[in-house]
Amino acid sequence: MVVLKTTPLYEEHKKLGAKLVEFASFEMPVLYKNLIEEHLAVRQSVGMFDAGHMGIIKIIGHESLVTGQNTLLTRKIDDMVSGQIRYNRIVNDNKGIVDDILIYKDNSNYFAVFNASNSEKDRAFLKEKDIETEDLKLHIIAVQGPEAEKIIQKHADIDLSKIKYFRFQHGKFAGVNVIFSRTGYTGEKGFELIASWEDNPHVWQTLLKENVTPCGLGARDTLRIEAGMPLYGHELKDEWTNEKSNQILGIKMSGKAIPRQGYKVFDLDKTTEIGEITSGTFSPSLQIPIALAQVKNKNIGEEVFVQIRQKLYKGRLVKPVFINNTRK
Amino acid sequence: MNIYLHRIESSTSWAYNPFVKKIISRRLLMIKEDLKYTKEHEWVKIDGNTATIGITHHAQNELGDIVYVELPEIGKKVAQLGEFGVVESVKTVSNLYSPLTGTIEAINENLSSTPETINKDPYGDGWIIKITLENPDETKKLLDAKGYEKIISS
Repeated sequence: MVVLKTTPLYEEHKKLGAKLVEFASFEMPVLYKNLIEEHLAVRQSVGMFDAGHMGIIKIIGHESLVTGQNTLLTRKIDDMVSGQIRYNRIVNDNKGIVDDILIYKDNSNYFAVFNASNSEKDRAFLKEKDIETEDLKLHIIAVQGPEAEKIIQKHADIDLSKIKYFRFQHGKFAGVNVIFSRTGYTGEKGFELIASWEDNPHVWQTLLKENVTPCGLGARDTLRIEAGMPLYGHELKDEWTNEKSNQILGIKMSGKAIPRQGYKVFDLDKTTEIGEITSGTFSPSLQIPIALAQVKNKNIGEEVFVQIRQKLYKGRLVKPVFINNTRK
Repeated sequence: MNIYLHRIESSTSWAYNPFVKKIISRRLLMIKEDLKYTKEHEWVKIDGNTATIGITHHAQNELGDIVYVELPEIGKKVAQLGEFGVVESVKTVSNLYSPLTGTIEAINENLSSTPETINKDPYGDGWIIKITLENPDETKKLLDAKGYEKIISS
């Protein structure tokens, strides 16, 4: 018997009748009612996600991380200001990617948000490099969509319009301490609200009363693929260098067959293998099958073939971002 | 044929008759009494030497919105429990297994443009293939409504 971990919102998911599945050793909601409806709610108004399984870790030995930033990270952190967030990737000794993370600079401290599936791996890796870390025991509720800010502002004690994209501020939401982080994993505007275990249910319930649509991991994945955002284990791996991961392009399929992770990509001669699908799905917003693929030596605009089961299906290479409304 | 969901009224004593309870429970689970089933959640309706095949209400519910169906070609032979196609939701690719051995005589071409028909009407307009049976005796190996109910209730 496997005992799965839970987030502070487990009881809330059960109350809502969510379909629960195992993800990264956590019991998580994959959907509440309908994946496509939840996906469209985020694009059209506002939805919220329990991202409480992600690790939020304080970097105790941040001086060592700063000193080692050129080898341990893909982007520097010594020039960050307080209140700033930077996307980053932890690099191993073989130049492979250990994880992709968000690093936050909070006064003189640094903390990071790790992928749930890599929290332990990341902490062990940093410890090996003599960088101690501490679990802050904080949990994220991501609130995303064009209406997200208006709804969050109703219960926020600070002026959210002053927080720029990839910046954060401490404040109170519905009377409890949260970090308002203008970030997200959907390609829509919104915030990630970071609160303690005890306060998470109150934040969630407040948003539920505002008719924010609860959304599961199913919609989270279709939204992030449309937004071209990488997922560790798909676009990023231990064995791939940062350079290889940056060779990710998008594919829009010409027909209805759906590309999936691992399917091979061929050149127009139908025999030269040029890459593989890293993530694929039917796009609820675009109503066509789309994919992210690691493809070598091809340009945007060119056509390729994707092998789906035993047949080849045509697609076109596009920018690896299908929908991005974060700056609109 | 429509399946109606029956709500068990606590004040209706006949609903507590164990025989009636079973019928009601199968109706709640949308299992049709006159069909046969596989443990892979396909249903089959037999009409002489022709069998119409689809997936059950339980299966379409588990899959979620179906967005793609891969149909076989007419004339292809399929074996009992052999793969004959694929049904996909946004997140899942699911193989389809034939309840009986036979030759494909018809495919539901509408499913190319409206795969969601399987979700809306899994036993009617959502039929997937029709086959000419090679060995009608094989139906003995299939589950009846009660047998299928056991599978999905466990």
